[in-house]
Amino acid sequence: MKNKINKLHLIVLLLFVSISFSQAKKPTLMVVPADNWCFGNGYSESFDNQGVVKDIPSYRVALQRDTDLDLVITQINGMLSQRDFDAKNLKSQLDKLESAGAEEAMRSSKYSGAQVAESPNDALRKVAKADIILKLGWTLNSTPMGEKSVTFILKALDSYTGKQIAQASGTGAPDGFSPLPVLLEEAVASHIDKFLAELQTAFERWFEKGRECAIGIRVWDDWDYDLESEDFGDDELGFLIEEWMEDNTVGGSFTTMDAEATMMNFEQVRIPMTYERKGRVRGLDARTWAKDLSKYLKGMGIENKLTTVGLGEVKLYLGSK
Amino acid sequence: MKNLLIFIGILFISIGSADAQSKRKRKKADKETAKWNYVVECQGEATAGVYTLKVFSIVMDERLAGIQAQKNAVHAVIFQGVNAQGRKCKQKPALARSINLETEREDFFKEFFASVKRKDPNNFAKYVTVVEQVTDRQKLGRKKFRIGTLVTVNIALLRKKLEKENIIKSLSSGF
Repeated sequence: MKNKINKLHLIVLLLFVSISFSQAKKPTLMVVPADNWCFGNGYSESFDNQGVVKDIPSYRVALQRDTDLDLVITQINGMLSQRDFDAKNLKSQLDKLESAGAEEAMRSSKYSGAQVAESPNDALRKVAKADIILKLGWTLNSTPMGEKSVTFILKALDSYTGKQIAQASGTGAPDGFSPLPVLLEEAVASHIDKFLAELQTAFERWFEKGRECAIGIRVWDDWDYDLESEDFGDDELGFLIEEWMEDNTVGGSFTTMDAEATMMNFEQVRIPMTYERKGRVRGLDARTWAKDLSKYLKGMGIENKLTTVGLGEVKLYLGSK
Repeated sequence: MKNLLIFIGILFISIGSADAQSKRKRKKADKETAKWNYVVECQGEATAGVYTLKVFSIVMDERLAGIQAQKNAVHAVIFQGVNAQGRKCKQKPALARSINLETEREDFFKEFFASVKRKDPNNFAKYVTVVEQVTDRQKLGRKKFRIGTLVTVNIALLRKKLEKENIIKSLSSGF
């Protein structure tokens, strides 16, 4: 009987330990072809950005025309899966995007109908909500002797800060016999360990110094106040927000990139990976973290709307919901 | 009957002697291992997660070169990483993410690298295969040899094992 109780205690303890050590939200990954690879291979399309036409990479065309791309993405996804990270499949996300319809170019206020012009977001990124984008590209080199080699590059970008957090690149050994898919497979296999080790270093840094994210503050154009208003405390609203940031980031670490009357942008905002609520340690993302800022502003009588892009970027629109 | 008893006696003595010899050999191998006197060259990575390495082991007893090369290869992959080898091989980072791991987990690694039978799932030998026992041989002194051995190390399996034993952190650790 005593043995049974001891076993039960052990199971409960192990369960508790496993729960308390796997709290933080696992970042989602997605592998896409690099922009210059798409342009170099002619996989691009024109995009009308409010009258300004520009070329953007077309992942759909790239996947339809380049079978090697699908092969490399599948291989990288497989290797990530072996390391307990399920990457989002680019093709599935594109299908999801198509069925979801065209991306909204404008975001409007729920009550007043006021509008905030938003730079055209990457529609795919919105649908996939991948925290880390893995961009890959390669070039095929040929020697006069007929030997071929592949120059391969793989970069991991934090979607929300735009920072590169891991990379692997290099040229493989010249080979006169192997076809391109085999050379590509070898390139991925030889680069992936170093790449994932760098990615792990970035994750360890997050746990140590806090997860880096970006916060944007915007003001609805129909609001009577702005970020320079002094009606909400002993200083301008913008400075009050900065003070709150100072108190609520890991080591008070953040950088104010822009501070104007109608907008503020904070980057390198270090938020903790976990937080405690109702006696339980939970994973913290930028949305949950910024909810406290939203509450702080509401406490001052400022109605606001909190929007998110995945786990790491939030925007607060002041003035109405 | 007398002959039978003599035969059984000889059998016991020879088994005991072979066992003692084997123990002595294992002890000697472990002593050699503690020196970690080797150089590793990457030869390629034909399959993802499996490195082909050439290990140059400095040994006092040539007969131990094979087993020593296996230990050295696994040791290099865990603690040192493998340097890039021209275009043939990219740099392979060490599995250990702390330079003090070997001393911090001394007990585990002492047992892990001990010369026990191959069937032991904790043993290093499960993760390494000898492709060519002697590729190079150089006599450095009266009782000192530099032996080259070609091996493959299953790094994917080795990583899983070390992660499972909480020796190293996994990529998803903490999430």
